[in-house]
Amino acid sequence: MLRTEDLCKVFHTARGKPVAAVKNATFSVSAGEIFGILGPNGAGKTTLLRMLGTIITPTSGHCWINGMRTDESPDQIRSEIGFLSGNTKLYGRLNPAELLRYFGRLYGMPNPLIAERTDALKDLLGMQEFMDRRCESLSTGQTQKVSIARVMMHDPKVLILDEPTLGLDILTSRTILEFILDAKKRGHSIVFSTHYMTEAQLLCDRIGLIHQGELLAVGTKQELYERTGTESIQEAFLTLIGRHGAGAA
Amino acid sequence: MKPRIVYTILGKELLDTLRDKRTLLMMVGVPLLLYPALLILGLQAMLVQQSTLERSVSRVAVIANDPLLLEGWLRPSPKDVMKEVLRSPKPPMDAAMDAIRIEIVDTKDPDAELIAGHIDAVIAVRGDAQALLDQNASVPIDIRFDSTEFRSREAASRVREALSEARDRLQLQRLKREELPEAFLRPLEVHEKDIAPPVKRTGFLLGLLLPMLMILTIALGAFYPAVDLTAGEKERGTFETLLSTPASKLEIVAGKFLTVFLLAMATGLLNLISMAASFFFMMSQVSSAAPNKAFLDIQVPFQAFPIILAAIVPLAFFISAMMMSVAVFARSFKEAQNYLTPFFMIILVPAMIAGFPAVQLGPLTRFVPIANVILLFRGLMTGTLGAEAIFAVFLSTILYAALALLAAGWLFQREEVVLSEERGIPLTIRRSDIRPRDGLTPSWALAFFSVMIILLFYLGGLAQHWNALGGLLITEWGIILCPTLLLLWFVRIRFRPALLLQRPSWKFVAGALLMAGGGMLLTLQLSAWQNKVLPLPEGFEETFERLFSSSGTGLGFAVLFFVLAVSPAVCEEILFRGAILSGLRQRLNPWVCMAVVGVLFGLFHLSLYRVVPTGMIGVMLTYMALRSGSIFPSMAAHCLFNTVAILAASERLPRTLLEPLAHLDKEGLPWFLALGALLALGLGVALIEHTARRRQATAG
Repeated sequence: MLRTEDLCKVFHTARGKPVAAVKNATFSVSAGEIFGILGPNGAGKTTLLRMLGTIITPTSGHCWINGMRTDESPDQIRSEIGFLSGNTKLYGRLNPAELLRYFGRLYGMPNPLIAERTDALKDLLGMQEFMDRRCESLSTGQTQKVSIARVMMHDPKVLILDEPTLGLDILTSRTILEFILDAKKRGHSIVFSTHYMTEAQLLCDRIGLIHQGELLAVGTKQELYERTGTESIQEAFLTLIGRHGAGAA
Repeated sequence: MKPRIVYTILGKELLDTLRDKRTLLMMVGVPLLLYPALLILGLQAMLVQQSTLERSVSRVAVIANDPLLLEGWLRPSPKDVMKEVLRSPKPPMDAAMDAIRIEIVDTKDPDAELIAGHIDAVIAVRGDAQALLDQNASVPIDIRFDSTEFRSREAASRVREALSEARDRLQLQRLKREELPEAFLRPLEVHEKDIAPPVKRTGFLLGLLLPMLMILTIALGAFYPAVDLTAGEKERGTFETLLSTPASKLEIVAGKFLTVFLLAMATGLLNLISMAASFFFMMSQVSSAAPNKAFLDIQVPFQAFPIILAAIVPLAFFISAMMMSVAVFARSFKEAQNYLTPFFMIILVPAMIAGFPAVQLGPLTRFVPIANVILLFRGLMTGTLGAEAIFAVFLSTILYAALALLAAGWLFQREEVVLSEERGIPLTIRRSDIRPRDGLTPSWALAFFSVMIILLFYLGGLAQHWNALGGLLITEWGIILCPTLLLLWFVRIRFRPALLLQRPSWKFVAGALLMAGGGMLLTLQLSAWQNKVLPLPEGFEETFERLFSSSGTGLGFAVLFFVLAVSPAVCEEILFRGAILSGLRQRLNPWVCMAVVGVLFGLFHLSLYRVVPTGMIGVMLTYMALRSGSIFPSMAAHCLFNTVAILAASERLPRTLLEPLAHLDKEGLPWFLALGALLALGLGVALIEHTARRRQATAG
């Protein structure tokens, strides 16, 4: 479903100095799998996911989604994925119904299908109460539900979700996480980034630990525990960071 | 680009923008409420002040040996008293008192009282007035007043008027005394008559005022949407949401640009309508207050409105695209406002220069953005412009607008611009970052065409002004070919596939030459027909004939052949059938490609009279390049076209051809030539098609 090979992204500062935000990221995600990208703030999670979502182009390396290379068919790939990040906010002056209709049209969906999907998502995410309220007046939790609905509007097979539960209360977080698990059961491939270790432990089939732009390790929870000799994701992550720091020194 | 996506983005952006109170206020509130309110309130205040001043009595001090004589001069005339009695509802005696507008007051120090504002004016008579009058001399009178005080100015004006009437009366008395006729003092009787009809006078005034207002209102209308849809969207964090959809960046730019453009147009029109309505309301108020004033005789030249509307379109297009290009650099609404404020100043500079009466729409100013549209209006209002000038202004404005839009599109493609979270974006193009390609992108091709036509106009025009043939040589090799090759090298385009540098089959070359021979004659006939609808201006043909025959230069045919046939064939083909076609043929189907490249080729010759015939030739040359997959057949055909033109202009063609060509206008092509031309064209197409299909079959 999704595969990356030596994906790198280098930004230039205002003075032209190159800064590598992601270095040689290689991993793959199969159908019906949740792949977690775990790392602290500033580790390069968002940059990596932005490259997968074709929002930015890699400096080197490649990414394939549904057999297509992201740098060759970005428009086609975007029609087959759902991308959500902290930077994908909603149009405040539209209400959720208008917003979903707008995105449905951008995904080339016919009007009857848009209406059908809107009804289904409204029920699934419990959005009935605020469908006709402008997005600018919604709470954080309600906004995130609309964002999830926006991403799922065209029922994409690949979901790229960047910290979807960030800043949410427990109840809304649970709704979102249940929704992600449900999507996995329906065969969707999900790339999911978070810095909440417990979430990663609970949801992900495989995890990639990222630090300072580098994927330190990729594997199932069990594989990571065995490799680091630890018993939790948090400990595994700290051990890997320690080894990485020692290696760099 | 999918029109449905563009339309969807446009619809959403319009809805979103019209729900924004700031934009609505600027777009609808300001024109519909503010202008009328300001104008009407201002006018009312002015009328009230005027009326109060008129009814007030001016307090005037007199310094004179014989104050009574002066008082007599300052008294209202019997005519004024009668007018006031008839007008006023008061009893006649009271009304007659009201007619007195100047009150003589006694003061010890009149000048000090005037400075203190206790009186309104001082009249000082130097010398003995009566004695001077008796000697037929002039009485020197000073009127002292304070020009910064309305009351004082009004008093001075009243005194001036009263003394002027007294002077006329005294003048008449002197003439009578000397038994001289009234005409004695008027040896010349001058009468002026403005022959301009009211509609032309109004047109002239509107031509001065309207363009500047239009530019300001369009810029104002584009300002908020341009900022809101770019920097505003970045600030709200919705840009990335849009970028995550299948809409391509070009579709996003197109949808957003159309929104800004439509809102700028709507604001511009609303502003104009509101200003016009306020203006007419004001004029009706003023004319009811002063019914006999000739300057109020206005008639709007409604026939100019379609031209104004037509010129608003490219102007709004240009301003909207420029504003979007600037605003996209900003991260926030506030930052975008800072960036766009200098832009306002910049667009006002050419507008102000064009406002100078001495600046006219000449060959140079036609291509100066903003200024050219202002000068176009002025020229149209006074009816002094020809079709060629209008064409040049529209062409250049559309080109600048296209360049601005392409710049906006290019900026939207740059992730460091649209996703920047840092101040001071490093906007550089590294050649090493560009991937090698087999052709330009369509937007690059169109942008390059726009730049080339501007280079051609300024540098080519300068070179050809210096020396006709030498300038043409410099234009072809230095201004057309060199920048084309440099651009292709810089953006890492592979020359061989992009420029169709393939060895062609001899059949393609033969077909192209046959097409050129036949096409040339048919194009000449087309030009002759066009001449009936759009006659060539005087001197246009002579300039070309002089150039082609190079009479008096002593140059041989070989030089003419190289400059006028070989050079355009090589350089213009590399540009049009090479670089530009490489960008367009990737996205457009061959028929559309032929039409677009043909039109661009026609426009490139910078003359309204040459667009259609040269465009037709461009279509044929593009067809040859596309079907043969090689640039050489079109080069050969281009060379043949120009060679025949040189031969015809220098009368080196056989008489059987020259004779009918000279009378194309009246008699048209003789039947044998028309048939021959059609046959050659048909044979050429058949040969090219046959060869191309055989090659496809072999390749398949």
